[in-house]
Amino acid sequence: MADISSESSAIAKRAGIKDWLFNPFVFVAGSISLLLGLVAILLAGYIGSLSNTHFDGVLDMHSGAPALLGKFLAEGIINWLSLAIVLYIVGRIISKSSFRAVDLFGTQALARWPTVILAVGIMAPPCQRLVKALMPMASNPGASIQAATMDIILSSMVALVMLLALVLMVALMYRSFSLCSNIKGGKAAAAFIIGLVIAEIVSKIAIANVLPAPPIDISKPAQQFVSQLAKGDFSNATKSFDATMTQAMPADKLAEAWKSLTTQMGAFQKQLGARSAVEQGFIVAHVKCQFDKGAIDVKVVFNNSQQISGLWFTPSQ
Amino acid sequence: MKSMPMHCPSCGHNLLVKRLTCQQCNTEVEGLYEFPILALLGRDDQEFVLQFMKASGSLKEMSKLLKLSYPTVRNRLDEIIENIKRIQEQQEEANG
Repeated sequence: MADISSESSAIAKRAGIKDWLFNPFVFVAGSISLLLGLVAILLAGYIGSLSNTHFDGVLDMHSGAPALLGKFLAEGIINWLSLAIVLYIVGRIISKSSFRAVDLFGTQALARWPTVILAVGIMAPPCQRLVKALMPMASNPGASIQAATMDIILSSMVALVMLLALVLMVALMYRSFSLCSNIKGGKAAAAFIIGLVIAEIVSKIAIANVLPAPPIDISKPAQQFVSQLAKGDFSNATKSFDATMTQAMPADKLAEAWKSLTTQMGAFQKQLGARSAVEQGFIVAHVKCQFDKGAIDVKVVFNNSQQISGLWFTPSQ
Repeated sequence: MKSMPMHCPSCGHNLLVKRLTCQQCNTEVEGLYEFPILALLGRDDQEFVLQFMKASGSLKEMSKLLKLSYPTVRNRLDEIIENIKRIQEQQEEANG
């Protein structure tokens, strides 16, 4: 009699890229898939934050609204949990087989790995240019769009790849559910579609309520930064810079800029207030400062990780 | 040794054992004997059950041995359980 372990090991060894791509859960499930899946979800969230791309629903993806990094990461977790919890309940009701929660939750997490492709895809320069060109339409549907034809063509090609990634993700979600709950055929498909629709609604409600949209108040860190400038504590002030700003404006250059401002405007007296807003896709704080010769707005631009990525001194408005 | 036919090639029903022989003294016993249920399982199913016993009935251990995920192995076991139930029902029907 042939040894089944050697026989199946041979099958496992024969498994090619196609099997791992379209049917990975035959080989991996449980805590390993959970760990890999969570890494993929957080990675997609992080990459998404670089282009302000939100996964704001189980199957949703929208670009444009800036937010703090935590929101991008939390959205991915909420999407995963929404579908996994709903499918777990559906599976428990329908399946005749007893199954482990860790297998369903783990494989559902790993099924979301194509969101990394989506997050990378939207970062492609033609897509970014197109998103910027389309942004005026968000506030004014009648606004004219000025986008290069080549950008539209290249973006369409990237969009096709992203669409395939989305289809793969849904297929993996279904395979995870079918395998882990041991439900097959039309019954599995119907249960999955119902579960997916419910989870989509649940995730949208959860993201809207648990993670409210901006306004993001970054007045305090901006005011703290200006206080450091006023005290001449430039080395600590530059600690809140992002990598580009750190390189472009080290402590001595910042001191130089501040000195040049005080030479022109007189000595710093006090802060008159601060406001923050989202301007052209950036999180911006304006700190109004009184100098001997007049008032100046210190405009501080933040990235999604609340690091300073831009600094301007403008006449107060 | 040749594998034993379990089903009738003509009608597909389960076969019964009619004659048993002692290789030592050539004594022959005749009657109508049923195969044990496990012997009526397919070859792959029998191999799985054998390996499952060797793994002390641990699906986790089976998963490692076969390099397949836990739910894949558990579903395979569920499939064999269904096959056993089906065979039992067939035997009960045949015995009236």
